[in-house]
Amino acid sequence: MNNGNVVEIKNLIKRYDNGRIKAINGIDLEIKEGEFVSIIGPSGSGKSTLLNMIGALDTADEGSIHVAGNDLTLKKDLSDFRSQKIGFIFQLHNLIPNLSVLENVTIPMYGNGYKSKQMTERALKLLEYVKLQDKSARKPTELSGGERQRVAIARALANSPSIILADEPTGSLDSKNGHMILQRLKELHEQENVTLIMVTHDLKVASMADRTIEVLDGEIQT
Amino acid sequence: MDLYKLAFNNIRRRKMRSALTMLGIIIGAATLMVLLGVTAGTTTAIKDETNSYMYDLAISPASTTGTLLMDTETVSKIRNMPQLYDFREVTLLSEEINGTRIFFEGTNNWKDVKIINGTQDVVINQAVADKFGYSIGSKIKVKDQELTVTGISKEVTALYVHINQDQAKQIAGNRVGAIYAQTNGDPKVVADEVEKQVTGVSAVTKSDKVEEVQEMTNQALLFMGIIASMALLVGIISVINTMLISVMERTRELGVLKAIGFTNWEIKGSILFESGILGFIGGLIGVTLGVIGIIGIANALNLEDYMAGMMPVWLVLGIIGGATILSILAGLYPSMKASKLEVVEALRND
Repeated sequence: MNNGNVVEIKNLIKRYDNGRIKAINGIDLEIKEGEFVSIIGPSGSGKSTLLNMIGALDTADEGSIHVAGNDLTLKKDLSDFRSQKIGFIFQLHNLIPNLSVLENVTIPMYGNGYKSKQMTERALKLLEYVKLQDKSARKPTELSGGERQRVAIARALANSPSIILADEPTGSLDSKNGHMILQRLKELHEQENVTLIMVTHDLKVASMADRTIEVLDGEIQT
Repeated sequence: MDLYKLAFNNIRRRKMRSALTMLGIIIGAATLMVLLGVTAGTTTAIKDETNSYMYDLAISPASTTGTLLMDTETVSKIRNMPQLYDFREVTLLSEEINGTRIFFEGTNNWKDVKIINGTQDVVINQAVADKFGYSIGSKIKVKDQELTVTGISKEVTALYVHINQDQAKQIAGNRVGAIYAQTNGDPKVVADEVEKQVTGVSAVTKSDKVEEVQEMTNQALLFMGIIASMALLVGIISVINTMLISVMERTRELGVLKAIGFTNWEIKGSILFESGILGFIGGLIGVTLGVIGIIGIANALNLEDYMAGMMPVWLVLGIIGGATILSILAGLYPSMKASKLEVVEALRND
């Protein structure tokens, strides 16, 4: 990884539907460590696909993609990479409904060398950070949309990742809750020097980032 | 908190479905336990009885003679054969009383008769006592002799009166139903010689009899095992169904687990663990119900003495272990389906 880049993408191509649809069409992209980048574009432009590929949730058909020193084009088990380097925040929070708030935050730490007590202590600290320590025993269904998304942030931070990937994190929230979530993410980026890559279709939200990238038809617009 | 707790939570979360899935296993395991337990217990009892009861040879009237008793001359010929020693005679008579047939068995060894009340000599079993209202001191007429009941035994399987063999033989006109004897030399060779030298008798060796009983009980065990296994198989199929539905319903959740770093093996392991738990709990409850069933059956059939033999440890552990292993195997296909889920596709699932 050169020049302090945490993400280096060259000529990335991703096709769907037996190659008929090009979701990503030759993207080149570099993101520096500690940078806050927003990716904007209309629905179906390929911005979420790009984010998923940076997070090793999807694989490239052509080109190269290096994230936090890992070559993601090499076919190998990337579960450790996802667990230790990346924190995901999804639009629909994706919490596990039959686990408590505390357990939802603890679960990514499983298998990462933490002792049970350490996991609980860390999860409680993270819940305190998102101001939900008093709701640790509740089930996600007992929380509001904004609270659920704050739990999702705490879960994303469980293994102290160097990169946070957020896919429309305020997309399903009202403006007040959306603002609160964005404030938390911004603080996190500024205080912890975490690289934050956020997909959004809201220009106002995108403007909070250090840099905005526009994706259209699978290509970055310059 | 780990994936195994998540598996437990999934079982708890869908209580009704988990219970219905386990019900199949419970019925299968309980059926296996009762059928195999009762068969195994009675098999052991029959083998023990056959071994302890029989001498090397059992000599009785050949079926072609049309009689069940051997006369004095035949008995004498048998007793004079040098290849035979240590004789034991048994005479079985029957008498119709008030339109019902009762058997009178000559007994040499009174310790085999489980007397629950009174003393030996003329012992009616509980079935006779119940049927005819007899008690100690009652009079029973057989042929031209009147017998006074001295005791009551616990057996209720048929209408039996145990009397001394000498008395039975005398009532039967000095005739004998069967002679058991030890042999000098190979029992099979001696059996052939007996049949050659004494006309109208059949000689069966102990090993023939034991083999015959063993074959019969083994076949019974196999047959019962197959029927009961079918019941368990139905339960296992319901585990496959439940786990497949569970994987389909939790597609998004499994996608999240993969996204936050769980490996395919961990996902597979949690599904297998969940199906194994269903099998283990189902097997445990089924075996417990089976044991209760066996106790009930043993009490109803007066087979309390063989109850321990009906619940061998190998059977209990075998059924619980079998149900667990089969359920884990039933979870293999759903677990493979879960581990092969594409993360992005799974996260899009509603």
